[in-house]
Amino acid sequence: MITPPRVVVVGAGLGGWRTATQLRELGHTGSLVVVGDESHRPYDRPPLSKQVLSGAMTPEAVQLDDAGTADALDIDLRLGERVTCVRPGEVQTSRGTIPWDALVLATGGVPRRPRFVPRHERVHVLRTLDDSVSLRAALLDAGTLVVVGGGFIGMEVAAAARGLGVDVAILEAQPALAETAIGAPVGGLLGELHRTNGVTVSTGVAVAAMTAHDTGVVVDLADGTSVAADVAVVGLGAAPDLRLVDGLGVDTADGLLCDAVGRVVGLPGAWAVGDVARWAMPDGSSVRHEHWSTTADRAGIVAHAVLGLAVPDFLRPPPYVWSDQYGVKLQLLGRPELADSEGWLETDGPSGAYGYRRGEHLVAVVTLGTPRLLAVHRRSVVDGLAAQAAASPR
Amino acid sequence: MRVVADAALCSGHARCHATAPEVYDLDELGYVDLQTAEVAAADEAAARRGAQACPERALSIVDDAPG
Repeated sequence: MITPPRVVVVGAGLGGWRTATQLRELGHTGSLVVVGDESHRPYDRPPLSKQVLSGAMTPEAVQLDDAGTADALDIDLRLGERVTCVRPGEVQTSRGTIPWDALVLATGGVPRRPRFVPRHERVHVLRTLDDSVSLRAALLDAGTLVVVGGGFIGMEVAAAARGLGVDVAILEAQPALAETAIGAPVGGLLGELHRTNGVTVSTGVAVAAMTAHDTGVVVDLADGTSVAADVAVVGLGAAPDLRLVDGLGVDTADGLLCDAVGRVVGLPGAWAVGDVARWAMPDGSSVRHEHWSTTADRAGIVAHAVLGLAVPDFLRPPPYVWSDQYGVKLQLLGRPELADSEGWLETDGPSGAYGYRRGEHLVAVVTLGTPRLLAVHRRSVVDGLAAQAAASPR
Repeated sequence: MRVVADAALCSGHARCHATAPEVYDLDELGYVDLQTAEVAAADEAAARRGAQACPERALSIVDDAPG
């Protein structure tokens, strides 16, 4: 095992924090600094658009570890400190300079805010714990909500808002909700689920303008109609936060390019993990995921790689993402973007499993309301992806 | 060492089973099939990595006795 004398982790979200704790668990004995610009201890993001909004979970309950964990693991956790510059061998922060022998960049993402989105207290994005707390307070006070963007975050916000008794409209540019992630057929079913629960779902609509004022928000659509609401949420995805690596001469096209164990290509001694990182895949492509599970697994991979340890296979499962809406769990395992055909594998009333194939290989499965079917089809997806990767030209 | 599962939190992600099948079985509905279980010494690392894989933090590792 190599143990670099000084490891610095930039970012205290799931990716950064898990990399740090795993380094200690694997036996790293050198110094370990984690710098996070928020004042909160490391916390989990999936509940921010689900249980924290609904009130099922308090903001304190999303913390990833007990308050004593950093001390117990001898991790120098610096909260409310902002890294302002990354250089070979050191980072500059709002409070000074920190030298590194190994650097882990886990800066995450920033919500996409197209120019038509006004900066106003009635217009919300959802990324941080503070965003979630502030949105919940707004929803408790609102009669109507308009959600711009019908991806997973937008859908989960809509479901939570309905649970709080708010009237909700979703505006989505694609023909179906979450179409980029899961395709039109399953996206269409999700649209029906929202309509059944009283949401006005408009797909295939383009936003022309958005205005906010003291009492509400108006969204003007390209077809000349408009939607007014007390509060707006913009859920148009997140862009990787690459501000610290601009000018370092590294590849930052849709994320910081890394090899298969997270080493940043072109920046020796540096790794990247989480929403900011685009990792090389076995088939020769490179992929940036914003999934909890990918980040948790990649943090483990980076910790192994920083210490020069072989990466165990269990840290490389297929990509997995889930969503909770109106008590229905959606689970997606695999890589639907590789598919050339798709269709239902089985249905059971409103529940079912939907498969994505490339040639004969199952490369992804979506289950709706039935974790049982995920267990049934997992092996086929694992095998299908392995066969597909083996068959791809590199 | 023991592992304790919170049935109210388990959501059927099945990442514990995928990560450490020697410790975590699934029931017929796809949820973790244990409430509390003693972990054999040889399986302690697997139990920990399975617990870490859970997105709901539904699995707790309890070290009962030192040594």
